[in-house]
Amino acid sequence: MEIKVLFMILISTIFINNYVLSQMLGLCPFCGVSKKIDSAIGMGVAVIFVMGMASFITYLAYKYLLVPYEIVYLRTLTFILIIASLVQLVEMIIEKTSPPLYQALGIFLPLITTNCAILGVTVLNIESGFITAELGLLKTVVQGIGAGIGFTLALLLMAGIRERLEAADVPENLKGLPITFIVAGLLALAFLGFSGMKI
Amino acid sequence: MKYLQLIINGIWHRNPVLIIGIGLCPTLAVTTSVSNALWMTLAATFVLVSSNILVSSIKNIVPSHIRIPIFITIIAAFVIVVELTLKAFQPEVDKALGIFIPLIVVNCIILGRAEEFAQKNTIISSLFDGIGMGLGLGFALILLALFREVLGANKLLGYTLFPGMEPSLMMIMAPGAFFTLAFILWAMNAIKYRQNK
Amino acid sequence: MFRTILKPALILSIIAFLASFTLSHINRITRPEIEKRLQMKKDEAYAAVLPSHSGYVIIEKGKKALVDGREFQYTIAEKTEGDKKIKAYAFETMKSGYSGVIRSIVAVDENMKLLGISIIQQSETPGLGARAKEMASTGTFFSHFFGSGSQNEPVKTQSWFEEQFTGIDCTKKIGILKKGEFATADENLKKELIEKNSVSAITGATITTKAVIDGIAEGIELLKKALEAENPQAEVKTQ
Repeated sequence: MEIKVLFMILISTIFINNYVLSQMLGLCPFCGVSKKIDSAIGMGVAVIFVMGMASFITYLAYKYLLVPYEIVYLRTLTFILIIASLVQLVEMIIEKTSPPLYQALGIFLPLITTNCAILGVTVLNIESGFITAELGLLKTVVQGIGAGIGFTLALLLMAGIRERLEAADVPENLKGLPITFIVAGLLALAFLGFSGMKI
Repeated sequence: MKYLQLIINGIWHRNPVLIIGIGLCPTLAVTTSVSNALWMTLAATFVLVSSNILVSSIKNIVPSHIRIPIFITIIAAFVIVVELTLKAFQPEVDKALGIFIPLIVVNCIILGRAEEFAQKNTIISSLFDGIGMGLGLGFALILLALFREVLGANKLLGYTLFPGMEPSLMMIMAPGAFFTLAFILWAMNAIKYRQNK
Repeated sequence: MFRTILKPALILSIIAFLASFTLSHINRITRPEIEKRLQMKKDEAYAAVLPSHSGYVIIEKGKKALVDGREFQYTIAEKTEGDKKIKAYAFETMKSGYSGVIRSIVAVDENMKLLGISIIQQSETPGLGARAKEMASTGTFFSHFFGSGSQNEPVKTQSWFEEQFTGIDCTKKIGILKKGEFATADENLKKELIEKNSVSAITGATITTKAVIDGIAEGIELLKKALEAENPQAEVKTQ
């Protein structure tokens, strides 16, 4: 039963409530890093990793620090500082332990702090009522990782299309951001098909 | 004159959303209605102006290698002020904007202006830069919301426009946001293209 | 050591301290207001689902029961009809909708027939799911703008979506029909809905509709268990 619930959370964050295409979070990196498939993969992996970690830590901080001391109103401040220092920490650890991984992910990590999908997923974890739910920590982490996978999926789809657009004959005034948004709109339209899906 | 130029820059020449292309998440997500767009503009502009002023007034005592965490802390604090004030006095607005109020923290426009402008300029210039950028954001948000609310909900400021007409629901949902922004950017490009010619 | 680690740490701590200090003051000012509004909203919701003209009077608020190891709170109301006392129950229920939790206050009579529901918290998409709270109105932008049209519409406490739940039987499964907006005056639709024990979904927001229905069903299950647990005791008391 619980496995089914976790699976549902995963599917719904990846497809039905895709963070980029249906909730419209994390659009800056979505537009900025979707020019090449390689960099999209790098960014995607970094985001999945940080989202999972951030969900885990913010859940603990909220439940065992903010709630008991009745300082829930400091949520936004706490979460953004946790995310910023987490990103910094991850960057330093990867740099020391695995230089090839750092080469691949390094340039994306600083960008992640201001990716609103990360702060978004941590805040939504709280608003989904996972704090009081059974197995809340597990659900939170699954939702975080699912959101990351959904983000990566959208980024990859976009990068694949944009690589082909390079060769296409786009009208002068549509080049750059406008055509990117038209493509994003079409993708979002396709993802609307998932809404209302029963699992 | 110099200050007027800063405001015009924010609205038109260096419009954060339409020209530079940052701060897109709130732009697309909250523009389902004009009133949401107005409140979002107000909230973001308040944070933008306050953080600009504070950052530029402490620019000489902030060690440069830890400036980013300091800026983020300052911005987050102002965002919480907005969050609490709205919750207390405008609960409907707080509900409508939901998660996008706390997400003002990671709005690239605000950190971008602190980093790029406020920490290098005087307090007064930073104030006007904040107002200009806020108005620029507002211009983009309201333009988008106008199209989306009228086409997507057949409403304006919450009142039905044409009774009996079935609106195009897609415009209220995510695809509509992307398409509307695409067409507005397209129009902007066309205007710039003509001016250059 | 001092320059590279301690000094930055010290400055950051001071800034964080100042920020939290200021915020704690703002919190102190806004908190009573926020709590007052929350309470007001709940009271309004209870008044909407157990309106005074129905005759029910709340006799016990927030009664606690332990169901399946979890606390479940419900409110008991009573009305006197002849020499019989009829009870009604109200409770708060929540369920994840399209985005975020939907909380509603639900009132049922003794036979588990819905007296009314009132949604107190939702963060659904404006124009779609959020229409669950939309008041039925015939006014248009132009009529408001030009001051024509009907100015004196009766003030409503429930949205059209909430209204249609009244009279639905919770012992059976609640169905969903796609009949568009439900108008209170539409007797035929009301009859059909009651007959099929169904509600009309919000256009384009079936998930929201389903979440509200599932929330009610879950709450009813808990309420039944709580009442069952209560009943043996009640019998002992009367003996």
